[in-house]
Amino acid sequence: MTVGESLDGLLRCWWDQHAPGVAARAAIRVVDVEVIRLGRPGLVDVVAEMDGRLGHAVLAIFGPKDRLRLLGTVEEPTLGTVQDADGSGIVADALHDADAVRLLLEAVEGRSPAARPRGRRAVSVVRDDAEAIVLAVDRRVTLTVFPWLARGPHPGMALLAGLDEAGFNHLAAPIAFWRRAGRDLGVVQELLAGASSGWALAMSSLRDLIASGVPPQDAGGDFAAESFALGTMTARMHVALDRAFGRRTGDVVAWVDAVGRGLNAAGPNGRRDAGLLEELRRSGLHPPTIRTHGDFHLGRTARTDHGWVLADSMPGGTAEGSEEPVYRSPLADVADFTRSLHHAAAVAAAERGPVSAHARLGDLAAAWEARNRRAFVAAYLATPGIGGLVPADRRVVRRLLGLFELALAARYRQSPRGAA
Amino acid sequence: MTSEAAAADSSYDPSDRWFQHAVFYEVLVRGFFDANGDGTGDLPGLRAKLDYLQWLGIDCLWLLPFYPSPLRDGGYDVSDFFNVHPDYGTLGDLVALLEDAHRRGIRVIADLVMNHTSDQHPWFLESRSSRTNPRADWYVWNDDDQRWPEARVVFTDAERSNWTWDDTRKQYYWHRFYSHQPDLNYDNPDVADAMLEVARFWLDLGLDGFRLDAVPYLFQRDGTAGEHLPETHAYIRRLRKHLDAEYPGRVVLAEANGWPADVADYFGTGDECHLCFHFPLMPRLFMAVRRGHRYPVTEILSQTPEIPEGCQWAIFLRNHDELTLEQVTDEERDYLISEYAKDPRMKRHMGIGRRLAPLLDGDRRLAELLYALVLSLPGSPVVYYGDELLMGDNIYLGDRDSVRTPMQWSPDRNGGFSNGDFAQLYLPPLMDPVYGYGAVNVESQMRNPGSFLHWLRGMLLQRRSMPVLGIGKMEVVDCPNPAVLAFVRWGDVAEVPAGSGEGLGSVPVMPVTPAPDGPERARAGEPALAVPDLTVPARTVPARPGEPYGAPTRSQAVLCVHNLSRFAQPALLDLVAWEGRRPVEVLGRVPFPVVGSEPYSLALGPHGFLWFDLTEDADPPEEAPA
Repeated sequence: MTVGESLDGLLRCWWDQHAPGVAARAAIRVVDVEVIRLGRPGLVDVVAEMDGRLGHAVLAIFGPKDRLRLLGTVEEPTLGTVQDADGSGIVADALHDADAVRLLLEAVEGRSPAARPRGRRAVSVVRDDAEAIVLAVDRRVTLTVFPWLARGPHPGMALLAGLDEAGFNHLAAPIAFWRRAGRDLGVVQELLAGASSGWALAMSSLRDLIASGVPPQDAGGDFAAESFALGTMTARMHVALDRAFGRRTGDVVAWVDAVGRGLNAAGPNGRRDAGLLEELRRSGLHPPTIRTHGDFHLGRTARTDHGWVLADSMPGGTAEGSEEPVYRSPLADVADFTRSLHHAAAVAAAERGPVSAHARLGDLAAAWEARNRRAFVAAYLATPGIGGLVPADRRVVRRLLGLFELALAARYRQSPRGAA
Repeated sequence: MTSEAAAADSSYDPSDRWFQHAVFYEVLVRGFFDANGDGTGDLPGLRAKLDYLQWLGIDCLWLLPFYPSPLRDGGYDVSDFFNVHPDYGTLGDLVALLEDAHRRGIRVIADLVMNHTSDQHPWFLESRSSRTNPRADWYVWNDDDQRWPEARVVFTDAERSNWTWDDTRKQYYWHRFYSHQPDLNYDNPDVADAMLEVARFWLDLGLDGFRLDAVPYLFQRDGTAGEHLPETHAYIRRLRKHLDAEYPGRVVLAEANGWPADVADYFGTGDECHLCFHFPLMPRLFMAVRRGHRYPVTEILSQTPEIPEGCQWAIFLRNHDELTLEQVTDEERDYLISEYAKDPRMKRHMGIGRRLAPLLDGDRRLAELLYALVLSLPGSPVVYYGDELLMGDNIYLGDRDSVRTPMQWSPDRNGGFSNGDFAQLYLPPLMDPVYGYGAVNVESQMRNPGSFLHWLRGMLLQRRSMPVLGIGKMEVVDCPNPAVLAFVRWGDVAEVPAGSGEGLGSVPVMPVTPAPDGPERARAGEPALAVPDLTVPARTVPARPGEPYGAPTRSQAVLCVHNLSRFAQPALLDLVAWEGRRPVEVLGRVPFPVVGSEPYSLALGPHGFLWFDLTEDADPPEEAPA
């Protein structure tokens, strides 16, 4: 294919599909091109600078008589036409065509082209957004492709690889990482068949509870056993992250100061909060820190037939807007998760109308949150190996959790959008 | 079954593998129908109700023990392996029952209690009489009670040890169940041979097979728990070999309560049992509908191994025992007991002694959902007598009698079960306002087309046209909503032409003279019960290589979608593997939109379910129902 004006046009078209309205104004600079497959269908992988971001387009070139097997609802399947050594070709986003996806998967997996597996096989779209395009292939694997790339290694991939190498098995095992020039382009993982998100399960439980009107332990949809299992999985994740990336030493005083600043910015503090901060400041603790998940909540987890898994390794232990890993106390992830339980309870209660109008709703939601929080934290602290990462004194653990929850509360007070 | 009998019913599957898509009906002879008015159900009574069972659409009767017995454990304490308990009739009554059942296309299997006998059995009486008599080693004796400490006590609430002292012989005898049920010694070749003779005796009379009771416990070995031993499997293979050689088409069904991977061993390589109960599935069905998500079910399915060709699971909701909670975790057991046995009197041994309807608080919609699951998950369904009516239980009765009360035939005296005096009845019928025979009985449900009985019959008949639900392949369909359990069953099927039983699966039936107080008398004494329609659709069977059905095969795919939640739910199903197929709802034959490359969207009512034929015809009928 002639790289030049024709590629610019194709990329602009691709960009317009992925960031409508921006493409027409900005320049495109091709950074890296790899021809994955010659002939028809051909595959060309392109990384290009687009308005300060690194766009990643996988182009498929079809012959004029080839029939596209489109995935999902694509309004405009083709990006343009090209002329190359194989003659004229129609260019489409490879991730929108089932056959092109198979060919790409073979290339990423490093497998030689094989006949299409017999039996009922298919390609389907699991996720398609700015963060990732995830395709399930033949009920065997998922192929994740990042439409926008990090400058260096993708933090989420680094976290995934680290966890896998450390023996953490609560995840869809990576089969092949797709990398080029120090950048993560995608990953092939085992398919988590039959998975449901933790958020969906928690909401099922809450809806059952609210309809029952009985204490959560007496409701049929009790979630505590699942919370317990999630606590265990979380602790194992932290033990594996410690093994994979090592640990550092934290400074509680610095954490307290940071939280204090956030609280002040968010509004006046209560005396109880001030007391907690003061107690921790006086403690002079230097607990271990590790590369944590960074944004750990119910929606990042999934229930499968084999138990709970970490469904999403993003943001890979980085701070918002950064690609650099941040070392935090593992209890910060725990607080993220308990905050998520709180959020789920609040959302389920709000589905029934204003909590103020139904006093019992608030009680039920609070009871659900308390029960599941207890189960989650109890399992977390009881997991072998976690003792080296959190203080032995449970009072200190409670205070640190309180500190991280205060930080989250301040953050959400400033930004009304909560985490799921 | 004779070819003549087979030809009489077009629903009859002549194949030796009939059991793979059959619906079994478990019946307590004592509790089904009393033909002679003595207060106890009997074989002529059961024979008199065959029209009803044929109408219901079941394929095989499973008779609980009908042998002579002191009845201290529901007949599982056999005192004579070669006869019928006098309360239930005679050998002639049994043969008449078998003939009539076969004529209706219904096979009959019975419990074979292999592991133990009653302590009143002549074998045991002789064995205990001295240490030197000819049957001295027919049971397991020891001088102390310390041997095999690894073997657990099964009935922990009734027995403290597996050993009991016998004051006559001055030794301890071994028993895995009640102390009045001494275990036979299968290391003695005479015992092993004798039990094969027992099996032959009943097969020669025309039984179509056995449910092997307590089969994991036949042997004992030092340092083991005395369960699932290789010697046990070797003995089952021996039994199976006799069956295959002398009685083709007859089956053995294992009662082996264990995890699927362990129980699957009882299939051997297709050379042991034809069927095994899938015990762990049952409590998880109840757990799934209470929790409102599919994982209790899909987890256990994912742990269920592939089984050999020619074998099948037997699946059920309830049976004559307690809802056993042996194959669940401690946490799951606590959960199930807290949810389903709120009154401590509901607990039995390591389970819950309740019938289906009271377990579900009488929720018919939930009962329909659970039956829809049992009829569509891989396995042959077993319906417990009375559950087709959503009969209740009596938790105030002892042991497992809570679920063994008389069948409720009508609102008349004794529920139409017996015209004997109330005080004579083996157990009192239910008379409470919710589940009593005045409210729940066959007669009223037969007269009400909207009854649960009619609904279940419709489902059983529907299932006959969908044999892939029996042995088709199964694939769980991805659905992000955890409340939805969806799967596709598919495979090749063939229509069995009428009369195709000729020359296939022929089984000798002994000539028999009906007993004087046989079914004629039973019919005279029973309440009028109009069986409205005996017509059943032609049998569709799985297509199996080399079997001469003489009918062309076709592929069949059935999508089953179940909402385990009590709230309406959306379902976005990944059906891309079936792209281009048109789902047609099986009960109403309503065509739905063709499957495309996008997730297929459905809505399900509370505890609702939908079954679809995934037809290859993408064009709807011209005048499709709205």
